Amino acid sequence: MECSDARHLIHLDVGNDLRAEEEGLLAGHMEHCGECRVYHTETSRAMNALYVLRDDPATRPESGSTDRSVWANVSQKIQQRRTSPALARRFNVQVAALSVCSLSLAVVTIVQSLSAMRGSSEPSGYMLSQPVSNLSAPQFYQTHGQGMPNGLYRQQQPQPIPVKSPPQSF
Amino acid sequence: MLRMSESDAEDLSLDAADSPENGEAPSASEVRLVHAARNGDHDAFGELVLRYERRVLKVVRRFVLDLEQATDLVQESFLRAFERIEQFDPARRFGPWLFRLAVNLTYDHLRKVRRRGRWSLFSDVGQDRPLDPSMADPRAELDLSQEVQMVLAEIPEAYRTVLILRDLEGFCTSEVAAITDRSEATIRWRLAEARKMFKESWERRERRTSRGQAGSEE
Ligand SMILES: [Zn+2]
Repeated sequence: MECSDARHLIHLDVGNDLRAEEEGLLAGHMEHCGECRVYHTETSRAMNALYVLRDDPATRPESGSTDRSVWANVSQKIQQRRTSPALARRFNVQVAALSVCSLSLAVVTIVQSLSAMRGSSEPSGYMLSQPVSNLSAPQFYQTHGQGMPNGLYRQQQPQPIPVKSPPQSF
Repeated sequence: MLRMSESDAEDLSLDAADSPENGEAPSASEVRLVHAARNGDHDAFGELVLRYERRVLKVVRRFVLDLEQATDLVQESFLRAFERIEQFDPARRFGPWLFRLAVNLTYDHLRKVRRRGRWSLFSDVGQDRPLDPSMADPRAELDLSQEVQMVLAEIPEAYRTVLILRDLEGFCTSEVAAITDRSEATIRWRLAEARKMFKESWERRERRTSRGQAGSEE
């Protein structure tokens, strides 16, 4: 048996949790392994420190306790649960109406901001005598006595996409 | 190789938790009380509460020191036991099943406390234990137990639970297996690992303390 296996058994042995066959194996190893004997002593020492908590006054049930049984309270709660009818479920119209209103408001807001965004994508930077939304871009430049700047509006015209026809094989 | 991993241990005895050797057979009086309680006998259930309440409280207080909170958890455990007693297999012992409910409720409680602490602006950083006036001079003992408590708190929950139930509360490994709903092989593996973790943490703490003392003497 290797030392690592012996150590695993030592951890069980210190709490008397070894099986008979394991006891024999560990004893056989410890007989000739001084290091594992030391390890056993050290582990037992650490366990003794842990056992201080067995009688820890702070976790003793009577510590700070009035020593009254919980049964009186438990019994009372059992009776309460037996006598009170199960809570019936009710449809809350107000909550549903409020949800529908909020949802509609949200949809309207989104639609409005989308159309506003579309309007603001027209060219800006000129003093306008009438609202942009009433004018198309060429009309706008005519109204302001200017030719349309090169490459400004044209960019927005859809360009024909060259389609590559597949090579024809004969 | 003797050593195996936790999953190996689980694979080897998947049905060990369900086997009847998990704890001894229930006593005749307990079988009678459980049977009566299952048939709605209020007083029989009360008898079970009186039998187990102190032990349940002791176990819960290993995790929740505050007596009031621990008592609430004990009450809730019995209420849950009463509500679910139909699901309990009367061929088994009532104790491990009850302790499992209590330990699970305690875990839920601790998780809630942790979650609350994470989202609140301020959180408690530790609670001084009140001294028990009935003891002559408990200070030295409390200091040592506080040190051990701190080392214990460093161990991951799954291992700490096994250590508490086996080494502090004295449940046998098959009972710990039944309480935690794991196989006995898994519990033995976790127990060995938990003791190893405790030993290493305890020795680290001792080394730190002795280094600190040497530093203050110089
Ligand atoms: Zn060795």
